[in-house]
Amino acid sequence: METNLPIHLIVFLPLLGAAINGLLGRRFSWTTITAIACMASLVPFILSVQAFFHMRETGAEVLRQVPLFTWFATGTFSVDLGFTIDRLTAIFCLNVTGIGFLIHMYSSAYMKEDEGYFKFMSYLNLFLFSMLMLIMGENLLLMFVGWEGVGLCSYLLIGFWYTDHANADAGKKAFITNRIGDFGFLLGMFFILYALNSQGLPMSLSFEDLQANAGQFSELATIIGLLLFVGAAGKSAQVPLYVWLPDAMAGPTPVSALIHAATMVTAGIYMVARMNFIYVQSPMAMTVVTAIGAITALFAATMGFAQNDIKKVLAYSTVSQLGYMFMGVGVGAYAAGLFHVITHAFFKACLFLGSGSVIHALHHEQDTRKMGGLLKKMPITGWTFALSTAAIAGLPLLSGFFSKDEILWKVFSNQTTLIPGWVFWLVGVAGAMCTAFYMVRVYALTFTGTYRGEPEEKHGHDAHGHDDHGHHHGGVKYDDIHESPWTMTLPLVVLAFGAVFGGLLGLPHWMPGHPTNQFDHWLEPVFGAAHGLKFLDNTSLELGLMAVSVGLAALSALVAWHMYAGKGKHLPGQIAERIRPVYTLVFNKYYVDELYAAVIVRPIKAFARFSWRVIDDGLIDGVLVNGPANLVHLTGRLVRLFTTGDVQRYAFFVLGGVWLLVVVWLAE
Amino acid sequence: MTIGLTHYLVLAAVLFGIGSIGVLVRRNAIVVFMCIELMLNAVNLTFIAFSRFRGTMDGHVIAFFVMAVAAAEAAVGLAIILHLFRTRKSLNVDEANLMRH
Amino acid sequence: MEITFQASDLWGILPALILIAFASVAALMEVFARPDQSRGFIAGFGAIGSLVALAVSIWQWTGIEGAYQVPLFGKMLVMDAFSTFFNGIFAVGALLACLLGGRYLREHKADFGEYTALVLFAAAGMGLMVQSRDLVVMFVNLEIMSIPIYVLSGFVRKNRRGAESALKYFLMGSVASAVLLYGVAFLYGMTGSTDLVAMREAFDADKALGTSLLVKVGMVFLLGGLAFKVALAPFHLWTPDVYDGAPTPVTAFMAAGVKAAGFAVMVRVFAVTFGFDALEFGADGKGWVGLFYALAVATMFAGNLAAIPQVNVKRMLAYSSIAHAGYLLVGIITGAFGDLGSATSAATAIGGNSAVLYYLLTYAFSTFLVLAAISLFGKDGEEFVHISDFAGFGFKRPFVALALTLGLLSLAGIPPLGGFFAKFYLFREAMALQKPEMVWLTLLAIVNSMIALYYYLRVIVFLYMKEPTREVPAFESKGAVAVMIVALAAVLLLGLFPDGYVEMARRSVESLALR
Repeated sequence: METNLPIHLIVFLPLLGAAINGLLGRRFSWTTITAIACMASLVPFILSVQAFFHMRETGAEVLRQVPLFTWFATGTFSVDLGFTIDRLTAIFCLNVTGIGFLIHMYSSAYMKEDEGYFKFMSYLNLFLFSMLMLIMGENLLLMFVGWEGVGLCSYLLIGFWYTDHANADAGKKAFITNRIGDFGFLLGMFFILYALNSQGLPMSLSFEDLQANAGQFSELATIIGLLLFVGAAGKSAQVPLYVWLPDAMAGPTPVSALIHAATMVTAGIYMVARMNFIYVQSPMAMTVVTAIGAITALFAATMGFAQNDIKKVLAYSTVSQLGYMFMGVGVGAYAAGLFHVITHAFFKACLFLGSGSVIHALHHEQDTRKMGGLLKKMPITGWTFALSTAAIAGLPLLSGFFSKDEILWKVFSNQTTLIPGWVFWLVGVAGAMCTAFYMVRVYALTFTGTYRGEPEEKHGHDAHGHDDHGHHHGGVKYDDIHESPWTMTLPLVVLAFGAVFGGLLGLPHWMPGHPTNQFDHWLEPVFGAAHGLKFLDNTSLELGLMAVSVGLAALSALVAWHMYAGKGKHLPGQIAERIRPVYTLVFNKYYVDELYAAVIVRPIKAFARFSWRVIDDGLIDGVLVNGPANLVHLTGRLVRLFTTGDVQRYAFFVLGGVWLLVVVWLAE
Repeated sequence: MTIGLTHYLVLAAVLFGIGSIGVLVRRNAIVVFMCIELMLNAVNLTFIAFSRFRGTMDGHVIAFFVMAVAAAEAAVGLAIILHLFRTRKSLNVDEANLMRH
Repeated sequence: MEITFQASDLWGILPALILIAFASVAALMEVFARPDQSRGFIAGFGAIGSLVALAVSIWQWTGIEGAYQVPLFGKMLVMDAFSTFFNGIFAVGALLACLLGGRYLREHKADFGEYTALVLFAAAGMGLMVQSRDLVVMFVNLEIMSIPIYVLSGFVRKNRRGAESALKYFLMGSVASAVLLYGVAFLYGMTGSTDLVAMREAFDADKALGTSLLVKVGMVFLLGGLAFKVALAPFHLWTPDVYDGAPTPVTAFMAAGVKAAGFAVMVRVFAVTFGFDALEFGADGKGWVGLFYALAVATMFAGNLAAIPQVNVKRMLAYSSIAHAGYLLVGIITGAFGDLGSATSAATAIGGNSAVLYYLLTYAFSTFLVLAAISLFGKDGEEFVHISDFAGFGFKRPFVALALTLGLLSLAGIPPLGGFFAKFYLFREAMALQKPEMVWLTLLAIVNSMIALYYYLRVIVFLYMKEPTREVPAFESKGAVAVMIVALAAVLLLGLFPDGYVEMARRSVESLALR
C-alpha cells in the first residue's frame, strides 16, 4: 500500500552522510564527523522502527512510495527506481540500521585516533546506503546495484589500513571470490530475462512481477536458482567461495562486526529468501543450497579449532553459522533461516565488538595465547562475551538455541530435498558440537586463567597483528589494562541483551502460550510460494532431537572448558549440575583425557590444520592470491609475444589476419 | 591467347602480393611506403579491369579518387617519415620500437 | 556512379561543412597569430565551431521524421537520423578534444593552432564517413578522417614516442586502407556497383552470388580494413603503441571518435546492408557470422588479458578499448540477425544496433572522462602515466580523482553509471535472441567484463590507497575540468536516465532501413 512514511529517506540519509563526511570531513572536528555519521544511521533506524510498527498495527504487507522515477523502459522491459518495505525487508531494515547505528557509535571511539577517521565513517555510511539499497530495492536490478555497492565498500574497508601487505592480499582475495559470485548473480538475472522473454512475458524484474510470473519458467528454475546461489555463496562466504571472509578480518574490527558478521554476509540468505518462489520450484536447487550450507557449517566449524587469532576464530564461526542459515532457507524453512540471521546478528556482532574491545585494550594484540584473565579487568566486555558465547553455543533459552534448533528440526523434518533430512541434521549437530567447543575455548583462553601477555615475556610479533596499524606493541602490562569507554561498552550491553532475549521474537510453537511462532507468522505473506512444502509434524520427536543436539553441544562445551580453563570449578553451576554424571565419567581420569586427546582432539586438530594449511593456505592462496600475480606474469609474456613494438610484425598480423579469415570462412 | 579479365586480376593480385611482402620485409620507411603505394595501384588495376569487363565507367572514376587519396597520404606520410628521421637519424622502421609490450 | 549536385544537398552535410569552415579559419588564424601569443584562443574558436556543428546536428536530428533518408549528391551520401546521431557524437568529441588540447599543448611546448584545425577536419571526415552510402566515398572520407589523426598522433614534437606513434599508425593505416579498398574492388567487380543499396539488390537478385570466392574475399578484406580502424584482434596490435605515444587529448579523440565512426560504418555495411538474410551465404549459417563470433571472442580476450599486466595506464586503456570493441561486436552480430525491413525481425535489428549506438555514446564520454584526468599529468613532452604516478592522488586533487574513478567504474560497467546500462542493454538484446550461441557469447562477454574490473580497480586502489613514491607534475586546466564536468554529467545521465537516449538510439537505427 502507498504510505506517507518517508521510505526513501531511510535509504538516502546514509548517502547524504557519506557525501558530507567524504567531501568535507577533512576539515571537520571529531565531534562533527561523529554527529553526522551517527545521525545518518540513527534516523533511518527510527524511521525503520516507525515503519515496522506501522505495519504491525495496520497489518499491511507492503509499504511503498511512488517510485522516484522510471530508471528505464524500453519496449516491454522496464525498471523503476523505487524502494519498498515488505515484511522481510522490515526485519532486515531494523537489523541493518539498528546494529549499524550501534557500530557507528562504537567506531567513534575505536577509530578515534585514526587520521583517516572521516574517511572511515564516510565509508561506513556509504556501506549502510548500499546495504539498504540491496534490501529495499523493489527489483532485482536495484538489488544488484546495492550488491555491487556493498562489495565495493567491503573492499575499501578491508583495505582501510592499506600500508599492510596482508590487507592488500585480503582485499584481492575478497575481490576475486566476489567477482565469481557476481558473475553468477548477473548470469542468473540474464537467465530470468531469457526465461521471461521465451514465455512472452513482460520483462519486468520487480519482485512482485517475478513472483507472479515465476511459475512459468519451471524448467529454467533450477539453473536460475543455482546461478543466483553462486552469487549468494560468494557474498555469504559458502564453500568453496568462503575463503575471503577469514582474511577480511584484516580490516578494522567494527567493520568485521558490521559487514562481515551482521549484515553484508547475510545478503546471500536474503537473496535466496527473496527469490523463494524460484527455489521452491526446484528440489534440485534446494538440495544444493542445503548441502552447501551443511558442508560449510561443519567444515568451517572444524577450522575454528586451529586458530589462535581471536578474530579468525570468530570469522570461521561466522562462515559456519551462515551455513546453518543456508540449510534453513535451503529446505524451504525461510523464516527459520532468517530468524537465525537476526539472532546471529546480535550475538556475533557482540562477540566481534567484544573482541575489538579486548584488542583495543591490549593495543592491537589479537593472539589468544597472549591473553587470559581479562574478565577481572574488563568485566563488561567479559560478561557480554560470555553471554554471547552461550548464545552461539546454543545454551537453552538463549537466542541461538531457539534459532539453531528451529533450523535443525526443519532440516530433519523436511521432505523436499533429494538427500534425506537426517543426513543434514547429523552434519548440523556435529557442527554445533564443534561450535560449542571452539567458542568456549576462545572465551576461556581470553578471559579466564592468568594473563600471558606481560611485556617481560618474549614475544613473537610477527605471527599476528592484522589489526595493527603502525603501533609498536610489546605487550601491555596486566595492571594497565582498562575497560573500554562507554561508547564501546554500551553497544556491547545492548547486543548482549539481544543475544540473550532475541529468542523471544520467535518462540517456537511448543513453548507454552505460543501456539504459533510469531516470527513465522509475521513473514508468512512473503513466503506464500513455500506453503506447499511438506514438513514432518511431530512435536515429541522435535523435542527429543533437540535434547540430543543440546546435550551433545553441552558435552563438547564441557570438554573445552575442562581443557582450557582447568577443572570444573569455573563451570557455571547449572550446567555442571545437570550433566554431572557424564562429566565425572568423562573427565575424572587422566587417561581419559589422553585417550580423548589421541582419539578425538588430535585427529580433529590434524584435520583442522590440514584443511586450514593445505586447502586454505596452499590451494586457495596459491590460486586466488598468487593467482593474479601468476596471471599478470603469464599475460605479460603473452603480450610480449605479440606486441613487440615492431611495426612490420603488426602489418604481418593485419595481412595474415585477413587471409586467415578467408581460409576460415572457406573451410567452414 | 586473348588477354581476359582473369589475367588482369591475377596481375593485380601479384602486384598486391609484392607490395605486401615489401611492407613486411623492407626496412627503409620510404621503401615500405612505396610498397603500400604499389598495393594501392594493384587495387586501381583491379578496379579498372572490372570496369572494363562490366562496360561501365565507375571503376575508372574510382581509380582517380584513389590516386588523389594516395597523393594526400604521400604528402602527410613523407612529412611523418621526415620527422622521424629528424628525431632519430635513421629511416629504419624496425628501430622504431620505443613502445612495446 | 552518378554524381549530381544540388544546392539543397549542402544542407545534408551542413555539420561537416561547418567543421571544415571553422577548421580552415583556425588554420589561417595560426598564420596570423603573433609568435609569442598563446594559441589557446584558436582551440576556443574550434570549440565554438564544434558547438555550432553539434547544434546543427541536433536540429537536423529532431527535424528528421522517423525512418527517413535523404540521398545527397546522387547516391553518394545520405542524411538520416543515424548519421546525424553520429555527427552529434563527433561534434562533441571535437569539442572535448579542443577544450582538452589548449592547455595540454602549452604545457608540452607544442602550442600550435593546427591542432584545432586537424581535430575539426578529422571530425568532419568521421561524419561524412558515416553519411556515406557508397563504399568508395566511404573510403575517401575514411582517409579524410585518418590523415589528420596520423598527424595528430605525433603532434608533440618534443616527444620521440609521438614521432614513432605517428609513423606506426600511418604505415599500418595505409596498409589497412589498401586492404579495405582491395575488398571494395572485389565487391564492385562481383556486384557491378559500389552503392550499398545497389549491392544489396544485386545479392537479392542472384542468391548464388554470395557463395562466390571473390565476394567472400572482398567481404573479408573490407572487414579487415574496418577491423583495423576499430582495433579488433588480430588487427589491434598498433593500438597500444599509438594510444600510448599520441598526446592524451588525441588518444581520447581517437578512442571516442575513430572507434565510433568505424562501428557506425560496420553497422551500416555489415549489420544492415549485408545482414544475414541478405546474402545466400548467410542463409545456411555459414555467412560472416562465424567470423564475427571468432573476432568477438578473440578481441575480448586479447584486450582484457593484455590489459592485466600493464603498468602504463594509457596502454592499459588502449587494451581496454580493444576489449570494448569486442563487446560491441556482440551488438553488431545481434543486429545482423534482424532485418529492418522485415515485420518479424525488425525489433531484433533495432535492439542490437541501438545497443551498439548507446554503447558507443557512453564509451565516448567515459573515455574522455578518464583521459581528461590523465592528461593533466605531464610536462614538456613527457607524460606521467605509470600507475604508481597516481598513488595518493585521490585526496590531493579530489575532483580530478573522482572524475577518473567514476570514468573507470563506468568503463568497468559498475551501476549506476552509463557503462553499466550500456553493457546491460547490449547483453540483454543478445540474450533476447534466444540462440544458444549468443547465450555463450554473452556469457564470455560477462566473464570478460569481470576480468576487466581487476585492472580498472587497480588504478583506483593506487589513487586512494597508496602513498606517493615521487612528486609528479600535474597542471591545472580549466578546459580539462570543463571536459570532466560535461563527461561526468553525461555518464551519470546515461546511467540514471537512459530511457530518452535509448529511444534516440532506436530512432536513429530505424532510419537505416534500405530504400
